[in-house]
Amino acid sequence: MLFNSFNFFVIFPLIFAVYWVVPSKYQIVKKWVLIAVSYLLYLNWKPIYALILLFITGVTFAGGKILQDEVDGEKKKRKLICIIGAVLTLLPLVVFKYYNFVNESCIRLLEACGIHFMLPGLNWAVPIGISFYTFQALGYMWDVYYGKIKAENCFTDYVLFCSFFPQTASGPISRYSELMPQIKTPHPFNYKQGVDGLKILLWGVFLKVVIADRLGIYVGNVYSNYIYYSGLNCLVASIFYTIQIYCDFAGYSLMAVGIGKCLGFDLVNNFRRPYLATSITDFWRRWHISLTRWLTAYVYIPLGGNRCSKFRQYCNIMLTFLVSGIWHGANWTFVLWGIVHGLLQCVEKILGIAPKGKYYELVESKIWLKPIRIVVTFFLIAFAWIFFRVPSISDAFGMIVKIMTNQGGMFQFIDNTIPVFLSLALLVGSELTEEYLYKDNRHGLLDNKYTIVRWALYVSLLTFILMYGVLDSTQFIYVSF
Amino acid sequence: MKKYIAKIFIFFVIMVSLDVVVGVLSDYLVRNAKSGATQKSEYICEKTKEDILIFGSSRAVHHYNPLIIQDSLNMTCYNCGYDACGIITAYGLLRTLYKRYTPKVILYEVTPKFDCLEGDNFSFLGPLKLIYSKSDIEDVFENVSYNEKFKMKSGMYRVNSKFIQLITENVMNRNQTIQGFLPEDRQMNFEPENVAPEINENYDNLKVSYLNKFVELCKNKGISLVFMVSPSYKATNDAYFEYMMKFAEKNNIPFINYYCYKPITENKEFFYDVVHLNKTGADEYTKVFVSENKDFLMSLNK
Repeated sequence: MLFNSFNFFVIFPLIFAVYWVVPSKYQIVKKWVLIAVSYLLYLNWKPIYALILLFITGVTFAGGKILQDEVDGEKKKRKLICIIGAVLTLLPLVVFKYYNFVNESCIRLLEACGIHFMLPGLNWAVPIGISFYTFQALGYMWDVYYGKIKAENCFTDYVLFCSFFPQTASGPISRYSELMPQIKTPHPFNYKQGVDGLKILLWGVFLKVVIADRLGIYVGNVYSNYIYYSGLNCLVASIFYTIQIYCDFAGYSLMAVGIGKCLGFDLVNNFRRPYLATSITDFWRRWHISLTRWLTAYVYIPLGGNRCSKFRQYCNIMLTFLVSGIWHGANWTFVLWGIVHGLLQCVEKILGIAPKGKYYELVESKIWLKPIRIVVTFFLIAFAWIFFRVPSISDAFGMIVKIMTNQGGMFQFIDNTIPVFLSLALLVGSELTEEYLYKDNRHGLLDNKYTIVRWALYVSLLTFILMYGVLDSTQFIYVSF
Repeated sequence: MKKYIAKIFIFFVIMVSLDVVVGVLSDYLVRNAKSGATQKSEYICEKTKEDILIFGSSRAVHHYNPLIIQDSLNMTCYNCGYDACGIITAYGLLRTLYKRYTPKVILYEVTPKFDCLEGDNFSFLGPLKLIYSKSDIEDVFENVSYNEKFKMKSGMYRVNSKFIQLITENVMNRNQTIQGFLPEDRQMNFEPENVAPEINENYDNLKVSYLNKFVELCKNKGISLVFMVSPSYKATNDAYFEYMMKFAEKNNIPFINYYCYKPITENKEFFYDVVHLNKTGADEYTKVFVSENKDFLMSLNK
């Protein structure tokens, strides 16, 4: 069940009430309430796919236990156990998400060689959030393998760790060391945490339904018929998509964080004002933080990270972004998107303008250069998002050619211009105040010291949501990943 | 926890009060709209008395000039088409007026994307939301989504994405229509690469059920229903409409097809984009449509 659906907003107060009505001393009951809710919400989508979630939970739990038991055993044996565990964990993801892609790619490759060979395609939907909970569970097992943590003994706690409903569908990908202590420790209701949760939830819904979905209507129209639209239209749609995907995913993440807080859990925030990044490297420290740190910990560093030759480091970056691209979707467009980001990071490193680079301090010291760097980074990211949005590489190049040559066609502007730009102004204001005024993770607008201002904002935001939100439970972009 | 619940309750009370105020204000604005889609919805619901009503999508609202039709046929005519709307909207609109009066003829511009093919059905409720409180169409909303009837209790939700439009349509003449017809002055300034609509056979059960309901309602009320298709730029093949043609045949509905009518489809000056005629094109097409079908359409005036 999606957080922006009407049903969820009817059910959530019930979940909240049932969860908090159980006294803290009956921690096990509270946990089972959360497990039951998490699985029921997952079952609500496609019941059979809950078995996959359970399978991944079981495999990684058992894997962790076996690895822990073999902690003093042979290295080779532990490695083999870890590989078997990883293969089993990744199996559903590979089958559901990548089978058709690999199959079609192989068929095309063989056809190019003059060989006609066909395997049947699978007409199955990809289980919601499979990439997220697979990576979270895999991260746990690898942490046990690397000896960073000890294996979990309580299966109930581990089931909740893997299925905790605020983060199952679209992350954030929590670390065991962050979430498990919160699952294990009884926590009575905390007023401040509860208020923060509702504020964050409100802001998340606003980002999703008012900004992302409103822009999404326009973006969808232009992208699906770009051949009919002018180059300027395509450029505007690309910029709007850049904003849409941020508000969509950050909106979801904030809703997850907000719901988590209302239930007494602090989940990692996935975003830190990514479009105020001054470089691509900086962008990846602010965008989808939980995935970036997962890829850094389990792909980039095991490959050698930056403790190797420059050439090897560039290869490591490219490989990591290749994995990131493939993680996002089974299509060559995502692969290309990952390559573009990898290449841009390598270029920054070669030019010495990335952190720890030769000219980094020099560039950083020039304040006047900062806005230019932010704008350039924004447009580079917007360019890369084109590959992310289109269904095929030829469409991506078609769109880019349209933008570059500004070929004719009809020009259409977005509906509800005033509310859209008003909400965008609110977003920009919030991002700027958080980045440059508040340094303590407070929300730029909703944490104002005056009660009247805060309440006026709460009322305005909900009014905006009801009057200008797209309230038809539109799918989140990242849920399909 | 008590403080927390109390504050949520206060917030809820403020929001409900504000919602009621917005609801009352919106109803007033709908009633007094001077122009645009709001005034059109209000007119269709409360004041239509024409012999001929035209229903359909943007290809209806921008392609059929009621003045030409009524001058030629000597029957009054009103264009009830809406941009990006299909059979669900048409059925809802017909339900808002049929208890008050019965039109003699309904001309329905067919658009498979909006009438029978799979796709989002929420947007079709747009024009109906503004007249929801004064008409008995709850079931239409419920069929599209079970939750809609609950959401429609909110005054703010009823004017979702339309509040500024409502205000402007009250204070100025915006998108003034000619008896529902909205002519477009633009002209197509580019040569499209691909003009053929994508043919797919994924039919939408809800849309098809509303097609049947619409036909049934017309039959029960003795309304003569005619399906029609207007020209599209450089169209040479009407296979896209095959399902609708078969549907018309099965239900004995006349199907007037100008989709590939060369004197118009080959003339770029008549279009403002691939599927939409501009004012010149609309006038030209309406003239052709009524003159070639005059006897038949007159025969429906019983």
